[in-house]
Amino acid sequence: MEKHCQRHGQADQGGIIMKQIIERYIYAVTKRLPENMREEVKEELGANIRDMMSENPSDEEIDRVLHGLGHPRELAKNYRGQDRYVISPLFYDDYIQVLKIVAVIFLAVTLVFGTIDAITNIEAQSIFGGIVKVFAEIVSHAFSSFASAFAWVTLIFWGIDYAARNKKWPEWKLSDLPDLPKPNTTKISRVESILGLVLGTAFSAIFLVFLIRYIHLIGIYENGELVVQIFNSQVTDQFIVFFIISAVIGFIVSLLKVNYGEWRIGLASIYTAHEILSTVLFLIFIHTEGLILYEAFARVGTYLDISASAVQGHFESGVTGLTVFISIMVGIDLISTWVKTLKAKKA
Amino acid sequence: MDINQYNNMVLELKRGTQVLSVLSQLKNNQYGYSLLQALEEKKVMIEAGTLYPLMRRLESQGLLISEWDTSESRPRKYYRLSDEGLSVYHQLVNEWKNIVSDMDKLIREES
Repeated sequence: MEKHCQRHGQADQGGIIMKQIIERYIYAVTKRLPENMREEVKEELGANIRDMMSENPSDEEIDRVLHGLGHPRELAKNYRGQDRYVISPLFYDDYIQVLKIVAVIFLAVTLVFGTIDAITNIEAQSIFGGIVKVFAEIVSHAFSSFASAFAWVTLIFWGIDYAARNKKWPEWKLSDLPDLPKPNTTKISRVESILGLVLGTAFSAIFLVFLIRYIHLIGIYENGELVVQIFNSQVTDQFIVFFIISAVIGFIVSLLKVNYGEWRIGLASIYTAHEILSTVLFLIFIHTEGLILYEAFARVGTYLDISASAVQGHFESGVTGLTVFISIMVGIDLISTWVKTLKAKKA
Repeated sequence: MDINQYNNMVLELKRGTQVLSVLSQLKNNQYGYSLLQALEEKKVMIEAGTLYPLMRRLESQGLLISEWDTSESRPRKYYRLSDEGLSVYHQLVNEWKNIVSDMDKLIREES
């Protein structure tokens, strides 16, 4: 409708608008060029475009000519003569490979510190709320760490690439060629994965059975009599459903490991997700306030001749130490898993 | 074979002849659009978006010289071969003949 008006109702104004379109096209080209080329390209391109049209070109004519010249970005590229890159195709594959490895390491490291940080500063009412909060914190840590990994690797490669383009490098040597990868490093050994499946399932089952049925029997016994219960079953009961979910996912992951027999992106992702979920869940569990009954601390205190709160203090520092240890171990495990996985894709 | 892949091969093949095509038509003055038409008349299709930047590049390499003609209502930039451009053109023509004869041998062997 608008077009229609321009052409018939207000031909003059329409003509001005279409002239402007041509100028805008030229501007879209020249703004992408080095300063010293702009003025000349503007004059010349303008002349060429006018030559390709009649004296009073119709909208369709202008449309056809400008589209014939191509996207301003492409035309600007042709005028510039050489392609420009942040990372040139020559270095691109190396760049992507390094980026993956660095991202994995950065992510794992922030995962470790993020988890420790989030768990030890947990302030949530419900377990579910706690899990969500810890995850939100981990994800935001992970995101910013990925962003900085990306920024660093890109900057460094940009520099290398720039230097490589502008400087003559010494001839490459045969000894610079990489070693062949060890065969089968990506395979998951059958024995390992089946053993993992059996032991993991057995352990989860026993853990869950205790959690569900026998939690009140875990305690301090004197002369065969239960004197003090250790765990507060009101607290542990809340975790049951989460541990069941985690156990089921763990079982599925173990089955997938047996099934595939080697690390792949999908398997490694599920494995990672489960590893993080179960670790976070367990860490929240041991950090939950009131998990251990105060009477249990008091009882241990009487044996050791110290106060109940001293026992509790020792317990809490033990929990913190355990958190750091577990987080680091999981971090290392995830790094090695992902390095294997990513190498596998390359080989 | 994918038609796009095939078209790319043809394009790639023709791309190498662009400079020679342009130089061949510039013994006399031509402006951008007139050169485009001159080539089109001889069934040599080079897109305007490729041709205009190419002329500028050849000028910056010293093979073409240009001058603006502002005497008419439409100012135009005319290009023609420089002395160096002419000698490069003759060298390239020789190269082209060599390529044609070498390729001919290869193709005839095949068939």
